[in-house]
Amino acid sequence: MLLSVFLGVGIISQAQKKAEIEFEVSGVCGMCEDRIEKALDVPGIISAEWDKKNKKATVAFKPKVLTEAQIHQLVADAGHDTDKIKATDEVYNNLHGCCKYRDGGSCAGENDHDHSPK
Amino acid sequence: MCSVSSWAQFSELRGKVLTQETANPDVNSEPVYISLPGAYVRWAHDASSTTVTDGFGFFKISKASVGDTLMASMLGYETVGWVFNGESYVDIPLESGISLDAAEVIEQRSAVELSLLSPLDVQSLNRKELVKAACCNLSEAFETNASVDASFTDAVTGTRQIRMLGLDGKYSQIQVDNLPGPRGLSTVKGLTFIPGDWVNEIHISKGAGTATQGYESITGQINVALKSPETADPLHVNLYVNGAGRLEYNQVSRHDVSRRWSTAVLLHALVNEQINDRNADGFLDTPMQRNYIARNEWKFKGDRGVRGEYAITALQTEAAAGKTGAFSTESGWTDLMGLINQSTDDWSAITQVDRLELTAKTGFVFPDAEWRNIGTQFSFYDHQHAQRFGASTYEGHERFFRGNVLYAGIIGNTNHSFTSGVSFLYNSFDEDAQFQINDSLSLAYSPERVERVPGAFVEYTWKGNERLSVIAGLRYDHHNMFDPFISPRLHARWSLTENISWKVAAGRGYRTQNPFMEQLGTWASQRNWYWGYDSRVLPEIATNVGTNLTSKFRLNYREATLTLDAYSTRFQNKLVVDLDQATDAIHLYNLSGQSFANTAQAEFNWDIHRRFDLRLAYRWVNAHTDRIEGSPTEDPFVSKHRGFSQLSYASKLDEKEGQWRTDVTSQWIGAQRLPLTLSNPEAFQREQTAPDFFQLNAQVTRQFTPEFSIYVGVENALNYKQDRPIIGADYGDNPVAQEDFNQFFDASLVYGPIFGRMIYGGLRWGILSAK
Repeated sequence: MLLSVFLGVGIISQAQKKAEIEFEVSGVCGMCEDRIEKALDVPGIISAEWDKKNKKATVAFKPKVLTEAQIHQLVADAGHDTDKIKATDEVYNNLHGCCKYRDGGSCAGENDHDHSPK
Repeated sequence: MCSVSSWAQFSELRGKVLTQETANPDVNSEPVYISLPGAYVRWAHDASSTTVTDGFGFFKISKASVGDTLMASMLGYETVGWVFNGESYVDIPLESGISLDAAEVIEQRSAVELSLLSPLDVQSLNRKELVKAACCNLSEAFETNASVDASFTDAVTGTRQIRMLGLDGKYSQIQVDNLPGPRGLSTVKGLTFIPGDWVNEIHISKGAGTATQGYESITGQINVALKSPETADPLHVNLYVNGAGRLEYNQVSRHDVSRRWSTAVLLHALVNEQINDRNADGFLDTPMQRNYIARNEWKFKGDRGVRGEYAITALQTEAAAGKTGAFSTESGWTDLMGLINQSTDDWSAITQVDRLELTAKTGFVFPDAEWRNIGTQFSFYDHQHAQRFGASTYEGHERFFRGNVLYAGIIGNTNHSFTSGVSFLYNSFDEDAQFQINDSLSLAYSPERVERVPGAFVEYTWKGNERLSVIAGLRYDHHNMFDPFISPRLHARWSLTENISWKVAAGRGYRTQNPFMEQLGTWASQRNWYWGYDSRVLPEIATNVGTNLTSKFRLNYREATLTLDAYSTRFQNKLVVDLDQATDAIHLYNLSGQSFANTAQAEFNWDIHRRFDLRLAYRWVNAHTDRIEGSPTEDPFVSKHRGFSQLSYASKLDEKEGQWRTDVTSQWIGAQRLPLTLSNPEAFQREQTAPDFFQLNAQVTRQFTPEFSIYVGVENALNYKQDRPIIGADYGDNPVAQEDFNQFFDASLVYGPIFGRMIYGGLRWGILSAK
């Protein structure tokens, strides 16, 4: 009962003021995930999650505050390609070695920099 | 073949494939690696070299030339390429990649976790949650938790006790690292022996516990996982000071001794020598105390499945409370403690506790079958408690040993698993209590007993279906003093949908009683101890049944959880503590009618915004115990209604991973029945029902870097104080004659805070594990 009331409120209020989109974002590992989600930590975004396995970002946001294109831009500015906007080489080159998705980067590289357990 | 393997050692590369257990956003905790059995390892250029890791993730592969690439892969993990440089041993960590739905990793851990999959109703509080109450020891850590009520035992000693499902903490089984914790003579006081900054996680499990850990759980189990060589940082230091003059120092450090051995040293010191009497009743509001606790834990991690954890804990605590007039600020601490042997003109209470604890856990996992393992758990403690309250003295000595041998395995496949084992418990009590009834009469009790309890248990877990799982346990304990204890336990979980799970639990538990130490608060009164008409020493027996519905859903795109639960505890026998029969007596007798406690709770957690978390909870209790003399039967000191809300804020991490964090917790504690005082003269009477009141706690933490943070906070910000908490104290308008004091003094009728608003502050500094 209580549950359905809560959910009901959520659905009604979402109708106009909020939207949810899903789009592709290239990336490799947990570090990428942190970077992508942190880039989307701006006013107007309600929740942002990037799924490592299917490389999809799910973003709930307020269209009045920012546009879909701006969201793609935020991700690209952080160094990750989306299906609409590519990151510049300059930002991309600054990514951590293991996150270089264009060069087949894999977190295997983490072996090299002090990730090995004791 | 033989000749090949004889020199193979030199031409073989050995290694281990492992993975980080869960992505843990809590920067303070070190990643935990677990081995991956069944992973494929091969040279990139030679498919025929493929080998599979054994039960512990180890592999052997013939060496290739320097520069060749070794590939390690496993379903659900990202394949790793590793360039060979001539090593003879290598650790290869795999990142979980294409995770299987069933084993989905929870990436963002919230401070309180509720599991949808385990049949047990367990709530886990991690460091993130625990630091919300900067305080101090375990008895205070529950201030920000809705499931456990914390209250004072009396108005002078500052001792807090907990209540779960409407019943005293003594009916919950409190464990430390899955071994017996505060119990026996330390049931109440023992909570203060666990410093908050030593704690890594607390797991609160409501209802009947599992059968493997003994017969003592009635209302639930609280397992406190202390920081260990595995979870502790290389160094963690905490300083705390509060407005009541309490100064605390905590230090936890970890040292890796060898590849197999690591150790952790945990230290705690608490000093408070300030005399506080804010309500000007002539009594200290908070005790003066000195506590020193030290623990050293060793962890062994063998390559072939042997694991061990060995710990030694020693503690000494001393406390003085009572009338301010009894203590002169001139005298040193030693003189103060010397007062334990001689009563003062002004009423005073001195307590000294010494305890030594040894624990050993050793486990062995079979190399060919990780699901099969043998574990042994041994714990021993020697506990001494001495006190003088007014003219009454007490000395108690308890020795405890428990050995537990567990064997876990499966029946056919991993859908059917079991844990079985045997245990032996030895518990000796030697108590001496002396009460001065009047100038010429004194009464002495010297109860002594030795409990020897061999037991056996079996617990079966069925996970045949993703939607349903069941844990059924049974234990048999042959007690040397009582009829055999048979404790059945049952837990079941049914997932109605992926996000809604329904759990039921039922079980029976037993415990033996030590009223002198369990009714610690009564010592702060002139009540005489009477054993009633049926005063045979009998175990307390109760059955608990309960149900829990947990639902996870999205509200405004953000995660939310709603938990509803209801539990009912019914006693077959109980040691009734009757404070209503007379104001100058505590009557103890075995239950002759019925006694029960029914509770219901609703808790709603919502991650409102990525920087704000909200928790709302409401709890209802109805607890009754039949007394010899009819009504009232409602259990005293139990608030029927309690409301709870907490709003937490954490700012965005800056470049140095600095952060601001704020938590505001407010509670509404409903009316509680107080023991009858009608037979006293009017000046020494109190209301029959305590008024409801609000508690507001707030804390601000500034984390400069993950290594360093400071915090300030306020407890009881609304400055609520119980009105005239001590019967027989002079609250300015009612001078009390000594003989009236001797007859009516009672500081044990406490339902709320005594000290009022308290401000505290502290810092945390550490050296973190390399990431």
